Amino acid sequence: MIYAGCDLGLVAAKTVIIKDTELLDLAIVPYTCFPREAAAQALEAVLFSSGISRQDIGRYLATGAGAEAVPNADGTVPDTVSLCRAIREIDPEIGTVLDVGGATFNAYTIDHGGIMLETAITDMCTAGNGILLETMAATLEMSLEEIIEASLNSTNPLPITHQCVVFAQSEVVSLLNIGHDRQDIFAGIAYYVANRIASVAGRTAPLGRMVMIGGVAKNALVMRYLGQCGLKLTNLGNLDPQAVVAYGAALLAADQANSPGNTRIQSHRPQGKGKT
Amino acid sequence: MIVAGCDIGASTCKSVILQDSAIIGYEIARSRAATVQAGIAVMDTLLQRLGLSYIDLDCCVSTGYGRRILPFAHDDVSEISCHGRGAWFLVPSIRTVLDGGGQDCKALRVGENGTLVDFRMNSKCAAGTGRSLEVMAKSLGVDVSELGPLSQKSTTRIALQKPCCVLTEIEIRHLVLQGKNTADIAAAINDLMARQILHLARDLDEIEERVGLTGGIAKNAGVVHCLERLLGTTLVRFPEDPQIVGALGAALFAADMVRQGTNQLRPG
Repeated sequence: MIYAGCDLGLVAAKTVIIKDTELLDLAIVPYTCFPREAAAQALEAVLFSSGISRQDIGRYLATGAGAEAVPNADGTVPDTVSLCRAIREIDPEIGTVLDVGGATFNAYTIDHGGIMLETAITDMCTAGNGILLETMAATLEMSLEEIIEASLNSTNPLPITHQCVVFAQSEVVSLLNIGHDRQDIFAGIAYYVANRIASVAGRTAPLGRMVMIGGVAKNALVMRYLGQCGLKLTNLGNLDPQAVVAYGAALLAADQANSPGNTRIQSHRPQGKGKT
Repeated sequence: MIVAGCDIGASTCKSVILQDSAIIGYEIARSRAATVQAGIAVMDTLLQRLGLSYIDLDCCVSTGYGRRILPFAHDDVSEISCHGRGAWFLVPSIRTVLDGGGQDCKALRVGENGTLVDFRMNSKCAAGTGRSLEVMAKSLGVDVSELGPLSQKSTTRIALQKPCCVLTEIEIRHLVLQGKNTADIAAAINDLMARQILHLARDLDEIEERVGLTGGIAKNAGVVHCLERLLGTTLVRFPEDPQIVGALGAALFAADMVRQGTNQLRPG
């Protein structure tokens, strides 16, 4: 049987389809203004590339900050519940999850049974998130992929004094004006992001294996610096780090379909909620 | 005695010329990446308009974030002192000066004789600055100068909750998509700015006493109105453009130097 899940975040829609628990296909559609359309497009894209029709999907669940806006979903689930479900499937030994997305940066610890123990959530400031990296790439007039590629060769990452996205942008302009190389500037930004992730990870009591998910986990430069910071991360295998939560929603859709009397999701509320 | 003050800010450069303690002219221009040239340009334009040249100036003091690199300045004074001095010169009864600049946000207490008593300034975050106002205005699709007039047409109150202007930008996008009224969102932006400026000033003593707002943000009537509502008092109205207060303060320090005879050009 085929199931689907959609994670509609603040900057992209992620849709996954699975057969039983096996990942079939996924699509990621970034957006700036139209979350509803992005979610619809992501579903259309996976259906098209896998040759499956909407009728074949047993159940389709929405999750994430924009879950309510996902068109044609059969229901919604909290993103923390989706995440726990996905982690239990991927590797129950994983106890710590760092989620570095476009606009938020969360760290979770999860126990063996897939129950969330603690969360550290930064939702008041965007310093060190994906938006910082994207804005800096735009300021340096290169695409994110190009600048990451170029900056991997940087031998001299410049220290950046401003962490605020708005201030860093004008700092970068002044650094360019006094003749610094783009790749050194961007490497400095990536170095800052990696340090911040490592410091938040150090503050959560590490439990079991550690993984990193979210768009920033695909940034090779940040991942390299994280390694240099001494952070040991477990590989997610062939699953896209950005689609983990959507995968969890698809697994929950399968769970719900297989136990029709019990469609209510057991809510695993975090016991302690701390802000960083 | 003719003296000048030049305020090289992050968003705008301002120059003021005083003749015997009276303002005879001022100029405001947008800052450019080449800071020094922008500072020279704003002073050149003003001198030209007044029919003066650099040798007519007895002294010039610079302030603002580019104050140390201006070649024609005799000395530089911090923008905190300059804003206090300038605001006190214009309205001697003022006790609290709130300054919403391009990249900084300040709150300072001034004593009865115009001396600085205490101050707070933002450091890491752009909340409460002109740059964040611009970011938010842009995401609403209006020019920053339209926020004030627009907000006066607001009928329903919306509260923006995030302190970060980048997250607020996303929030505004979603409000626009929900079909919320542009005037209501503009009012919400002004309200957020006012709350952020007051948040910075929260632990200064008796801030509600004779308060004035300087800097580019003071030109937004919506922010002024929100501050007045939050403080429960009327803000001090300056007889001059609130954006030139820092440059005016610098010029007053220049006049002091002439009186004390310390107006030699600094070495280097």
